[in-house]
Amino acid sequence: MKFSLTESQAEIQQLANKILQEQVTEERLRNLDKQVSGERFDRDLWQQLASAGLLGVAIDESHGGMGFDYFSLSLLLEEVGRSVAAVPVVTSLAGAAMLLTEYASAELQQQWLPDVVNGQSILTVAFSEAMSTNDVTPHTVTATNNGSDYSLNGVKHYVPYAQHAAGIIVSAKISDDENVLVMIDPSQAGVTLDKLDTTTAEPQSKLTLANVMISSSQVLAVGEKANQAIQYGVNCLLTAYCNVQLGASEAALRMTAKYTSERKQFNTAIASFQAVAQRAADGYIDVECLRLCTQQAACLLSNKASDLESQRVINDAVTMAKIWAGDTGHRISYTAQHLHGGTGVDREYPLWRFCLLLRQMEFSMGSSQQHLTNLGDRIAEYSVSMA
Amino acid sequence: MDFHLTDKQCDLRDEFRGYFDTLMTPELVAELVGTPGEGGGPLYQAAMKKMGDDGYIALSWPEKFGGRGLSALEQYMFIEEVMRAGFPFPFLTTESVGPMLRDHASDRVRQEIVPGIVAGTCNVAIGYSEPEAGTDLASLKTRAVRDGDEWVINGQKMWTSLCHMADYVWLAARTDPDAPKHRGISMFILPTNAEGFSLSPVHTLGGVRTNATYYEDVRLPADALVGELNKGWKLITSQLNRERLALVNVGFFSQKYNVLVDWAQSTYLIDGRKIIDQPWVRTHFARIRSSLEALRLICYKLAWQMDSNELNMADASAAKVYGTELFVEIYRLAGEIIGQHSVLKRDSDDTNIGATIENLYRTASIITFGGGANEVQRDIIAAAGLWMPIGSRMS
Ligand SMILES: Cc1cc2nc3c(=O)[nH]c(=O)nc-3n(C[C@H](O)[C@H](O)[C@H](O)COP(=O)(O)OP(=O)(O)OC[C@H]3O[C@@H](n4cnc5c(N)ncnc54)[C@H](O)[C@@H]3O)c2cc1C
Repeated sequence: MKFSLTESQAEIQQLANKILQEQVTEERLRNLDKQVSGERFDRDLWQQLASAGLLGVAIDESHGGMGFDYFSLSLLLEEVGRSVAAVPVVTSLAGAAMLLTEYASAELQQQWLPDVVNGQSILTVAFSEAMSTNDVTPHTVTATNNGSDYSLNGVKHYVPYAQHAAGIIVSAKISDDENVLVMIDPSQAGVTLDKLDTTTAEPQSKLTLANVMISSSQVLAVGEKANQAIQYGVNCLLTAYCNVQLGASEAALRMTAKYTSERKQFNTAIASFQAVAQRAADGYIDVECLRLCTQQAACLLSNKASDLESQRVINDAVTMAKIWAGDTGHRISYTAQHLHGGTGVDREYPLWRFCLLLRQMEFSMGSSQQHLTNLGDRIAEYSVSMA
Repeated sequence: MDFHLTDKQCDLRDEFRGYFDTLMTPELVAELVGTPGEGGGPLYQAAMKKMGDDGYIALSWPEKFGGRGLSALEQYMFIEEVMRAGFPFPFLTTESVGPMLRDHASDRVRQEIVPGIVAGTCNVAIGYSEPEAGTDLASLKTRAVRDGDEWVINGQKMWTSLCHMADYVWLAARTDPDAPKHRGISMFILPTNAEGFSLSPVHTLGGVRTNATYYEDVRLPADALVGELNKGWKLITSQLNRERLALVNVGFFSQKYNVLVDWAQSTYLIDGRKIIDQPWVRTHFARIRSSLEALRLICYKLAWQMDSNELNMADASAAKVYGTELFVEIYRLAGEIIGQHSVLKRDSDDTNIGATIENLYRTASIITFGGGANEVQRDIIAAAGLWMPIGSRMS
């Protein structure tokens, strides 16, 4: 047990924190709000992160990255949450790049990863389907086998940054017990993107696939390997949402502590009212719980282990972290808004963006209740015992 | 960052677990059911003595004092196993009072008491609280007045637990009534057979007996004073963080969780489904499990902070609040899973699954106001963790 960062991890954290805190100013965020397309995507910031080498934190040195693990990447994700920066770190880095790194052929890696590192290409992942209770198994998107090629049909939902992506990793069902994971090019014939308006204005799309032809070179994994890859990708994405949630929750809470320490009513700082202090203290506890469960999940994802027992430990740790992410995000958001009074909902004051982000992360790839249900099913199956 | 125990730590845990598996004979378990939370029966006394003989009482103490010099994390793991086994180990005596006596008592007192603590034969009750001094402990009124070579003690203590079977009281008394309240308190060690000492029992909701203790012109030798005169507050608070950590040790419920899941997986409802087949039961279990996971990590982080001298006050208070309130919540969720059986004190079918929760629920509230009321802990979090001005509430 060790709860401190290594020297290189601390450097990554500081670098990410410095760039994001300096660059993501209130003014910059307001300018983004005014973008004509109504989408929040900060391309310049993305290039700055690329120049600093941060997009390649967890990508191998042979592709121009730093070659660290998922945990190091999670530090960047947390800083993005802390700054509410509008960049596709979750989907492109924690999702697609990690999947390519762990599961794709050398050719696919060489094709995509160098451009992810230098910021040229954004990638995204399309796992979620409407009305699904579980993103691990594709249901409505199917892959029909034609020799060594496939043709894809069906609809994926909530695909982040799809309209900006050079490649989309899609999961599809071949048969009841066989899945496939492929990389598609959004300009391929049969691909339609319909823009969704999200609460944070993060770009998202509905992805419709109509007889999209997939050649064998586009296949990341098939069969049992695809199932493992999908589970791994889901874990990486869920943990990434937790990391963003952690940074955003902590920032919103600290903003609240500062504001209530300065705001006076009845001739005294409102923070000196015990009811106010106690509610903020509950927020501190929530953030601490989220932090530890998230860090544990990110650490476990960094150690490769494929036996059933270790795999279960990882899946359970990720699920528990996402339960905390949903609960903490919700509670912090309303604590922050309430203790700020009217200021908290004024768009001239920065809190509102955090509240929307917290809400979106809460519901991304499963609410707390949904993950509680998943965990409960596993407890019924294999106890999830306490050591 | 590393969330694994080292091989050495795993070995240690196996050793502790094995030890308590042997120690907790069915007879001892049966005796403990009759004395919830406190022990004190003959088999308990024998078990304490055995632990002393086996060198298991002062594990965290340096080797030269008969211990094994365990780190805070290892010591935490030890308490985890103690609690998992359900043995009412007097960790306040061994972790808090014992070390203070060892490090600050006069030679005579040290030689008289410390070996007995390490041997498991000497019991020390804690005399801090008074009828008028609870959360605001520093306002305590029991007086110690110097008279020649002696100290004369007068006053009343409340909630002096285990005192009816203790050899000594570790007593906080006011030695300077004119000084600011935190700076006029000193610590004494008082034999329970001293003239002028008496007690009467207090029976609590949880079934745990505690005591009101009375001090009428009790005379103590000069060297019964422990540590420096008027510096008692520092001694009282020096071990607080360790105490708080022990209070919310996850070991308290981890094995009970395992047993409860096992029960729900193998027990049938009248309609043929298993208990765990009910969707809401699964969600309850998921809540319990994910909350316990956070508690586990919070505790380990705190122990790690202690070992690396990075203890964060706000984190210690956060652990105390979170853990104590979680236990109350878990007993409710567990009670709901068990159903009306959870208000039975003894089950006719001997599974005791309901009785365990019935008893735990009655004892759970003590730790939310004891060990530093949770409101005060939240104030500490707001001040030390979030730098909020909390006014004059803390003085
Ligand atoms: C079974 C049992 C065993 C015990 N064993 C021992 C023992 O061995 N030795 C010993 O010395 N003591 C012992 N205690 C005493 C215990 O430490 C006290 O109960 C505790 O310190 C709280 O004091 P109190 O009961 O007087 O409650 P009070 O101090 O009267 O507090 C009651 C409530 O008031 C509120 N409150 C108090 N202060 C504040 C504040 N600053 N801000 C907001 N709200 C506040 C809180 O809600 C608190 O729970 C024991 C108690 C019990 C019940």
